[in-house]
Amino acid sequence: MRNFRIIALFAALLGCSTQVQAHAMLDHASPAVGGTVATSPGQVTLYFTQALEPKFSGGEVHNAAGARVDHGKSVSGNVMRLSVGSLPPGSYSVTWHVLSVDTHTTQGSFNFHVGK
Amino acid sequence: VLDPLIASRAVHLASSLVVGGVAIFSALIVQSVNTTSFPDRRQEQLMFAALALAVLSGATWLLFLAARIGQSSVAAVIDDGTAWSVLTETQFGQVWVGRLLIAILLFCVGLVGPGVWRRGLRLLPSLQAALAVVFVGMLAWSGHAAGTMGFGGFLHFGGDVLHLITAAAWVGGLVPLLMFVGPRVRSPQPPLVDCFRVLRRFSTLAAWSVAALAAGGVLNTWFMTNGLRSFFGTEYGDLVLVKIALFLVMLGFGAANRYWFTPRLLPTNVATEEDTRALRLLCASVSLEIALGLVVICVVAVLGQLPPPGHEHHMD
Repeated sequence: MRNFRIIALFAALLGCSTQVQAHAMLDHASPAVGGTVATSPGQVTLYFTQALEPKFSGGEVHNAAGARVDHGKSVSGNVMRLSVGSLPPGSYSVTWHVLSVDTHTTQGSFNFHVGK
Repeated sequence: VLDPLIASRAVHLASSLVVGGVAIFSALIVQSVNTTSFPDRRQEQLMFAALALAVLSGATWLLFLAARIGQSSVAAVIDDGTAWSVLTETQFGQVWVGRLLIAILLFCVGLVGPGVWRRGLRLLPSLQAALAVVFVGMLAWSGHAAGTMGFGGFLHFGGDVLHLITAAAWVGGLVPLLMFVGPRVRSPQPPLVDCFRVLRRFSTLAAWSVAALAAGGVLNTWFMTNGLRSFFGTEYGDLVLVKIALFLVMLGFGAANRYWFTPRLLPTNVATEEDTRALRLLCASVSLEIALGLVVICVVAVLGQLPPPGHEHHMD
């Protein structure tokens, strides 16, 4: 009975995986999260709280109609850049997913607006 | 449900600490006390077994990690190349390749070591200990310390390396200590002078290790909990408190070994019934200390997967 309790304690301890969550968080972005820029930014830049693994980190930019408008990404250190070229005025959504160098995955999204 | 990633991490941590513990024990304790029975065949076998387990559990850790990153099964990530990408294109994978090379070097040193040592090359145990220390210390790149940025990142990483190496010297070293002392309980006339010296020397090393271990632990916790602001009332903080409680109990056993059991082993070659009884109690105490160390390692494996509250960042 005592052995069973010890085994159950170990199993409970090792079974805490449901709590696994993200580690690298979005610190800030340009254009800012929920912000408005007067003209097309050329690229969306995301700054994270930890360095990223380029191979397993990426993002997408979509316009209000749901069409993808980004073309190419670059990741260096804790910064991810998504090229968007010339964006017409309107609302855009950015979705991102990253793997931090301490091997934890995170994802998120935010919107920004181009034009007055 | 048992999480295979956490289980792999726990087995890998435990086996890596034993690799470090055996190498440090051989170089700093046994070699300097009793050169006639060195190198010890049983210690060599323990080193090989721990190394094999570390390599195997390191491989399963990488595969289960790739499966989590790829949100797929282990078979699928091997098939589609995700596991290979994790090995070759991430910091974690590159550290794993480096540690695998060190493990191979340790295997080689273990194979040729005893013969070379007998021919007079006495530096070999030190070389083995140096390699093992690097093997253990590099584990810091697989944990949260790898993600802390800026100058604080260097401090955090340094604290984690210190924490791991001193854990190997103390907790990992308990296993070879038990293997050294254990057989002398059954022996009709144990060489207790060696036993006494080994225990005293290990005890001193453990005391220094505990101090450094605690310093590394404080540094780690400070960075992980945003300067303790996110320590209390969080799951992460609660688990750290469990770890500290277990650490204190282990310290109690260590103190009993040093101040109660060891002084009863009089530095004499003639074994009395009282000596044998003290040795038996000491072995039981060390065994319990090892068991508690395993529980602490399981807690550490879970902590490695939890989101540290100090890393959370909320955007409005």
